[in-house]
Amino acid sequence: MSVARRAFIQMSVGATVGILFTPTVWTALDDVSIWTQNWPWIPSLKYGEVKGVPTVSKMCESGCAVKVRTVAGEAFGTEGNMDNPLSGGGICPLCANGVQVMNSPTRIKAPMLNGKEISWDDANKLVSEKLAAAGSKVAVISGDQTGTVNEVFSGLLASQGSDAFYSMPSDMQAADKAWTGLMGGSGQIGYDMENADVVLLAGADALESWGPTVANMKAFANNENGKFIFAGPMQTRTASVTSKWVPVPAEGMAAFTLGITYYVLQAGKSVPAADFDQFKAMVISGYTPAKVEAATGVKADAMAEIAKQLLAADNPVVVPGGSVAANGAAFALNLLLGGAMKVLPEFGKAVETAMTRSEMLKQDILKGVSADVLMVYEANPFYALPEQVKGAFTVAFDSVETETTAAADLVLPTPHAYERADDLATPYGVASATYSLGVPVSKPTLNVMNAADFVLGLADLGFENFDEVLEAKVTAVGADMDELAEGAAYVLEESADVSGVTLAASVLGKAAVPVKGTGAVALAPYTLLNVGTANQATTPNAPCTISNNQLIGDNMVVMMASATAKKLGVGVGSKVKLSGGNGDCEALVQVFEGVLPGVVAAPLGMGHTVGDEFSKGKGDNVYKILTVSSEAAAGASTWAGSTVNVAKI
Amino acid sequence: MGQKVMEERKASKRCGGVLPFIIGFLATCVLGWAVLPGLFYVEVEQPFKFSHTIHVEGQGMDCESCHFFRDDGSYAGFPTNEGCAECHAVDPEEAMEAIAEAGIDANDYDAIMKAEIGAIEDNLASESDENKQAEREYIVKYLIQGKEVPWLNYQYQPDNVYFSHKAHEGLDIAELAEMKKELSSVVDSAVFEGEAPEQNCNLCHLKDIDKNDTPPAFQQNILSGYSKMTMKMWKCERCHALKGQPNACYTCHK
Amino acid sequence: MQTKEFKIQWGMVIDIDKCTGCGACMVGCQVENNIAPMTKKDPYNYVQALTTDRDDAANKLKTLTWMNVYELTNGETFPNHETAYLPRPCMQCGNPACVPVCPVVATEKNEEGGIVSQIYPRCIGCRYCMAACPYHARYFNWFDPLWPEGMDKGLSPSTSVRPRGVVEKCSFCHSRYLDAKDKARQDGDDPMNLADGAYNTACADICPTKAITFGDLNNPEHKVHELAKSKNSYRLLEKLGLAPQVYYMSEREWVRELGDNNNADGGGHGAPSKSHG
Repeated sequence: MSVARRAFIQMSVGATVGILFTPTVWTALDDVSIWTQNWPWIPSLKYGEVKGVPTVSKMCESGCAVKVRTVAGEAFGTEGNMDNPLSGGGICPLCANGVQVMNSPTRIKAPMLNGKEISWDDANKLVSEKLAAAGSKVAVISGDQTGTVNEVFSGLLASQGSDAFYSMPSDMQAADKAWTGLMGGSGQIGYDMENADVVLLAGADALESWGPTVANMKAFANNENGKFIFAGPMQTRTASVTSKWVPVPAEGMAAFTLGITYYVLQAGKSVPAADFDQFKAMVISGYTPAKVEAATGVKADAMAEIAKQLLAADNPVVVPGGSVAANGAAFALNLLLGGAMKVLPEFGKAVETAMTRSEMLKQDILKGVSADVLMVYEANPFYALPEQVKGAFTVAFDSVETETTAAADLVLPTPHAYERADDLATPYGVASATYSLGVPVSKPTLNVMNAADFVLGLADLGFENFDEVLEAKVTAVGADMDELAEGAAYVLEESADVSGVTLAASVLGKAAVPVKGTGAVALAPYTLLNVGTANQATTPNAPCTISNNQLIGDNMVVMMASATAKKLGVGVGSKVKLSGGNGDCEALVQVFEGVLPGVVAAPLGMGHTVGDEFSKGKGDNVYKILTVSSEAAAGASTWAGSTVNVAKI
Repeated sequence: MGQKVMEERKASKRCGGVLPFIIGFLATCVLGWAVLPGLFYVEVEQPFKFSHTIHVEGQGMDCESCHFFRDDGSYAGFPTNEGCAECHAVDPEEAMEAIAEAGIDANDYDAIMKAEIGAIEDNLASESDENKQAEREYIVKYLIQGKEVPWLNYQYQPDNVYFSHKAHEGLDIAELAEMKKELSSVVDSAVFEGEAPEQNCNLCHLKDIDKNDTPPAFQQNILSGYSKMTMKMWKCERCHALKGQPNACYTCHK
Repeated sequence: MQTKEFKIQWGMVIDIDKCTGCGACMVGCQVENNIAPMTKKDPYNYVQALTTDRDDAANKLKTLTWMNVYELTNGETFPNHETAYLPRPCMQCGNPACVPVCPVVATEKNEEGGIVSQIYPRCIGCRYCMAACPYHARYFNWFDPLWPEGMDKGLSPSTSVRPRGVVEKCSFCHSRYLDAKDKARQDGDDPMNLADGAYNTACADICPTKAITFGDLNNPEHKVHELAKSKNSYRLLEKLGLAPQVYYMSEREWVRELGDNNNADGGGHGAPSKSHG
């Protein structure tokens, strides 16, 4: 060993020991440990002033009042609006994910003609040309039940000489057809579920998918001593919190309601309507408990018990869901009971030439739509009504890609609900006429335009832009713009006049007869908000909330009672094909004792072929297998009474 | 033969010995304490020169004009464009139009600043060229673009830390001066010298920043990316323990 | 192990008779706590790319549902069948099973208020705590949180984003507690004596039927104080002695009995389970 080598080794050892006595190695280790946690694809958070900005959300058909939470101006979440009676502080799972839908990559980024981007000016020219050529053969389908944007579209139709305004099938429409169509009433029916002491939900899935869900849930929660009864073919989520579930087949709902009316009439209740005697005679002879039991399977005792509770109540109300006849029967019963059913006046119009809400609900979309120019506003008829809707030239207004935007010729992107000014007037079901308005929370980052602004550029309705229309509406309503912009609602306590209303005796008797399809098993379709509605597919954070009773893997699940399963020769997990309507669906079987025997319950809202990865290719589209039957007497079409054939595969 | 080896061995023990070890040891000690720590940091300049003295002394603004507690108790640290635009009031639309008229590419910030657009120049309040240029940079690169200035936070904490300014508002430098020996590892003793200022920002932030003209560079650790000034967890814990405050995990983490 | 006592005890009372199972609490919890939607593709993990896609939300063993809604059934056949829905956050047990088993003390129950903390940078992902928790309230990040393009520009400032490999759980929206204390200080109130509703969790805020009530179980001015003591209140798996701080309420006896899996009287194994989620 030479001196140099030994010295070198000793110097190295000295250096090694020395470096350990300095902070270098230790801080380097500390820094490296932090470096190992700095993964560049993990997003970092933004900080700043946190605000809750009130606005109106149109993610479901009714619309709701929410507060969008922002940090440093960027929206990140949604909460309810305590000050607004439509929310009372709560929101539904769709709005809870609103910001995520707003920021989704499936947002439509610019106007597209047959898949190629065009400018808004070119789109305007094109549509103007098409409208000029089409004349009165123009139709509009709107997915928004409550906005003044409908008045703008209606005004456009009026200027073309057309009255082809369609709304997607809804309980609001069935109720209107019964009330204004059959019974000669005016205004919109409302139900004071918060102050009623007995509420019979006759087919109305009020706490999940009927009407303004959040407002209904708030009313339910605030109703401390009220008794809620749910009648329907299946124990929906509503039935999990009501005092009682009465199994009633969907097509038998009207007969069931009249069966209860029998007892109420026997107890001596009456209504000063022109056809009261005719009505009484019709019910007493045609809808005796025995006859109703035979036609629907609902026990006479059950109906008697419900009638007893309704009669003993101070403020009872019957809330219908389903066919026009079921609605009519419920209104007649409510009039007899004199309880918490309200008739709400309609607010004044902003656009003079527009139809009233009742007029807008007249057309029957299930009978089919065919037009030279078809405009679809934030609705998805090519998903929910694939066979019924045809347009030579289709213009689809929407904010995210759907089956309808994929099938349309011209796609015009609208801003997301939180990016635009919008309003909502009296969603169907609320107890008083209510008006709410929302201002934009976020600035749109895509090349979008409010649909109403585009339409105002096509026809001269006396307004430059939608903001002017909203101002006119607020004036017509008689509210204060500033208060509305801060999230408060304008509520009118007045009731409309019900004198002159008839009980539609001649029609109701015939229309209430249960009519079923020819398939082996009755189909009870149901909607769950977290699975998706007809217009809004499941949202990005919702799939983990979808239970194995609706979806397993990519397969839809249908539920039936064990008795039904035995009869069909299937068991839990069997793969089956349901055939009906316009096609068939594949599903897995789940045994659930909360379904009427002889009925299979299937979830609506799945089976999307266009959309994001959270909704595309999941399950099957039950809208395909619904059958449309005609309520000839009532002059309406309905999905109630759909049947299917079930085959094991 | 044995004697020669013995001599060689004796020679090597004497010659090699401890010296190389000591030399190596001392060399790395010196390097490790004086030189190497500096190499871990790279200096990054703030987006542009913001002078506190111009605003505080010059314009007579006080701290709360830009740094204040909001109604919900959160602290507004870096002011937003909304606040700055109250004085640096250049209308973004007007400026963009003027830029377009002058035929300059809206993304070419250097060209825009060189062109000395009227709408922008009229608003400049500084006297020196350097400060005028700083103002121009703010207006052209950030204000009219609608972008917030990405200030580099000397006391940057990661997302899993929840720091509440409100909870520390009540700390009084004059009071803490009594504990300055125990706090010496947490707070530099220079903070306790002289008259105690009204606000206690000096405890953790750059001392007397209101008298600063050119903000110091942000010293960024090349490995972890954090600032040299970023307070590590043990400092928070030490002061909490000395002041009788809880050291539960959730006191500071989220 | 002894139950830790604190002056303030944050807890919940969940009314099963008001919960419709809508899932708004689940979605709201995910948005508040920056839980990414489950996407199949991961462009950053090159190893993953060589094998299979990640799981999507159909695989309920991999989902991160800090708040999870279970469906309960009374087990009867038609027409006597009844359902109920039970939202389950972390119980923040008074005597937690997960705390003593953590090898690195990433989880502790040491803060006034009794919320069991979970510190992500400290967690090494051994999942021992997941094995210990009888309520399945803890979740593991099997995958990196990846949002669809553009969706992560709007993230909640309340909770840090966790990388893969760490365990997470409901924290009763703890940063809202710190925010509430700041607001109390700003308003001149005592941060250690918050008013009822000053600090509320995201799930309780969002619930449309207000089935979830949140507050200080020890404070007589908070609603939960009385609700927790009602005769219809019960806790899940009481027999295990973990002293959960989340109470449930139902007028229906079959729902209450399911709290201990129908074994409240110590029936032992053999009694069939009537709950499935």
